[in-house]
Formats: sequence, C-alpha cells, structure tokens
Amino acid sequence: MFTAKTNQKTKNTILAGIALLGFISIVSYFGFDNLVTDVGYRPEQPIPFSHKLHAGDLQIKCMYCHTSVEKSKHSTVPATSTCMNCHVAVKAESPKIAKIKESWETGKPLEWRKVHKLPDYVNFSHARHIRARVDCASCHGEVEKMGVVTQMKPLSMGWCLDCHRNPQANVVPAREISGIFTGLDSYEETAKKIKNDAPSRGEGKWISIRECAIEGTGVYEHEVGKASVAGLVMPKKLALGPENCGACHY
Amino acid sequence: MATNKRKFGFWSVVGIVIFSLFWVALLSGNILWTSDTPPLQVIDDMDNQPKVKGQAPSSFFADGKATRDPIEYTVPRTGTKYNVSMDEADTKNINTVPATPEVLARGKNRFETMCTPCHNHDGKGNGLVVQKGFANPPSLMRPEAIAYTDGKFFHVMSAGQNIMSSYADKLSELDRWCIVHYIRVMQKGGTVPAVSQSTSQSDKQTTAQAGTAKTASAQ
Repeated sequence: MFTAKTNQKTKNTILAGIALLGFISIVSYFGFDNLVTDVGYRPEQPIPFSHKLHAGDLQIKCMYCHTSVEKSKHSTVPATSTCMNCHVAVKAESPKIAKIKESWETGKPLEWRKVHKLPDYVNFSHARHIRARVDCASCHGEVEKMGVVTQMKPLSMGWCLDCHRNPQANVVPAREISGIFTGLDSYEETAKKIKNDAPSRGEGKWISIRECAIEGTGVYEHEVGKASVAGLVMPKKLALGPENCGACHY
Repeated sequence: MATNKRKFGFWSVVGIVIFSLFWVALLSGNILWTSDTPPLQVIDDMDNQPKVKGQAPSSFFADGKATRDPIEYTVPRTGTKYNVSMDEADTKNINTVPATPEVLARGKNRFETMCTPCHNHDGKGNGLVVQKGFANPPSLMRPEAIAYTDGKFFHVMSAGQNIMSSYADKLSELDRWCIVHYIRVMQKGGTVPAVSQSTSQSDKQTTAQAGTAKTASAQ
C-alpha cells in the first residue's frame, strides 16, 4: 500500500482519512434511514389523551372522531366540540380535560402535535385508501393499543411501494374498530377478499414510468357496483396501488 | 513492520464498524426507545414547504387558524345548513332516500360508529360511554320511539336533543337518512346487512319504483 519512502505521519493521516470516510458512509447509510430516524416518534400532546382508553376500552371507532377520513385527503383531528360530546358529562371536572374546556369556552383550538408527517411534495389521499378498505393500522399501527400515539412505520416511499406492489402481504384489511364502511360485505369477507383476491405485482419488480403509463397502473379502478343512491360513500374495487411517479407527486 | 501494518488494517476496519454502529444505534434510539424530538432531517428536500396546510397554524390570520370558520350568514356549497325547529321536523324533514341494501349497510356502519358509544349496538342504551358516566339515552326500541316520524329522528341527529349534541358536522344528510332506515329495521327486529340476494333484488325493484314515483311527483 505504502512505499518505504512514505513517512509514518503521512501513513497515519491517510489511514485516519479512510477510517473517517468509512465511519461517515456507514452512519449516513444506515443511521439516516427513515426506519431509524422516523419510527418511534412520540411527541407529548397538550392533553394526555389515551387512544387505548377511548378506542381500546370504550370501543369508540376511529371514525367517530376522524370523520373526514373517507371523504377528504386529510384525516382531520377532531374539533373541540367532538370531545365535548361526551365530556360535558363524563369526567367533566377532571384536571386532565381542563384545557379542552378552556378551548371550548374561548374558541381557541388546541394545538395537537402532528405525529405522522409526509413530505409536502407527496399527495397522499386518506379517502382513497380508506375506500379501498385499507385499515388505519396498515400505516399507523394498532393505535387502539397505544397510550401515547407513536409512529410505527417509516412512511418512506419504499415502504409505500411495498404495499402498492404486494398488498396481500402488507395491507391490514378494514377492521371493525376503525369504522370503515365495507359496503355489503362484512369485515371478515372483506379481509378474505383482500388477503386472497387482491392483485399482486410481485415483489422487487421495477418498471419504468413509460411501462406504468402503458399498463395503466396509475389509473384508478371503478367503484364496486353502483351506489344505489346518488352521493352514497361506497367502497372501491380492490386494485393495485399505482406505481407511477405522478400518482403521488403532482 | 509488515505484520504490524496488516494488524492495523484489520483492527481499524473492525474499529470503524463498531464505532459507526454505535452511532447508528444512538441515532436509531427511536427504534429502541421512543423519542419526543421530531425526526432528524439532514437535508430538507422541500419537505417543509411554507404553505398553508390543513389544520395547521397560520400567522396570516389574527386568530392564528389556517382553517377558516364559515362566514356568518353563508351556507356550505354542498349541502345546506340545518335550520328546522322540533315542531316543524315532522313535516319539513321528508325521507326521500330509498331503503336499498347499500343504504341499510351504510346506516348500520354509521350507527355502529356514531351512535353505539351511548345507544349501544341494540339501540337500547347503556353503551360503554354511558357506563363511564354519561346520561343514559332512552331506548330507541320503546313504543314512543317507534311511533316517531322519520323526520323527527333526522331532527334529533341534526340538531341534538337534551344532552346529545348535533351530529350534523359528522354525518352528511344522506348518512343521517341511512341511519334512520337502519333504526327502523332494528325496531322491526330485523338484521342488516344479512340481506339474501333475492330480498335485496326485490328491495331494489320496489325502491326503484318508489324513487321514480318521487322524482315524478317532484317534477
């Protein structure tokens, strides 16, 4: 590696440089992965709200509070009035809900901290996924068992594509606790359909944007049957998620 | 000297790997233990764009809310503002939604989601939230409730009653009618959506007829 002429100091410098490069490359390759940096984010909320108590023990469905999830891209954090539906009477004097009461009286919203964050150049639609009967737990983990909401999945693009390529293996089908509307099928039938009949593209297959356009993978499938009444929010047909860039980055 | 060099080369690689993995483990503290600090972001690839986002704070408005409240005396573009009193409920709220299998299934789903915390799965009250100290609602299966018009049920859901608050913000008008249909099915002791194919077919036909009759009368 070194000639006899190289003195010890230069040798050491070069070796130290290689060591530093190795260190930086290993840390930046493994250490800054979404799986490492994002998973486990558990901010403290203004109110010690427990999903474990509300959704787990009291069996209040996810959609009781997060109502817009099947109609909007955004799954809204409930308004203070939603809390007060019950808390006008239940534990009304508890110091833990003093902030809710204050918000209710002054009209100033509570500042909940956002846990699951996607980059701003991603157009993720909650409604599209919920109406495909993908359960909340697919991306958020089993929130009804969490005292404090924690990010359980990396929410990286590779992780999104895992499901889009192979939903059978990765999707959690709609569960009763979520309150997702599964049409005329029961939750069990829906789960069976997603696990058995859902299409699969096979893992690790890379296709170009052009191929995507030809295959039409970016085109959404039709509705299941026809809504017998105009405006009825019906679930949609099981389909592969699109894999073309323009599906999410537009 | 040569052996020394080889030694240094070997141990330096091991050292680098161990030292690096220590740092990876430190950074990945978020896997091993949870963290209150936001995820580490080395390069901000337009991840946080300075734009107004849903339910986010905004310094532009005096009250700091990016999501604006509706302006007074305006109505939403889709749907209407519910403005019917209890006395008018029977006559003004007319149920024009046919009881198709889809409507009943939707009604069941919305009832299970929105109503069961208090009214319970059977509609007789004493739901899990009631057991935590909420006022027990009267049974939906009692004769008085069976005698209620559809419009009255719709009114209670839209405007609230006693301690029950309005659900107009959580349920669209169509969803509220779906729930009315589901409550009717429950009052008759039926189950939903265990509709067999034959009954659903006949239901569809009758409702289709009812629908055409209604549109005809509307015209």
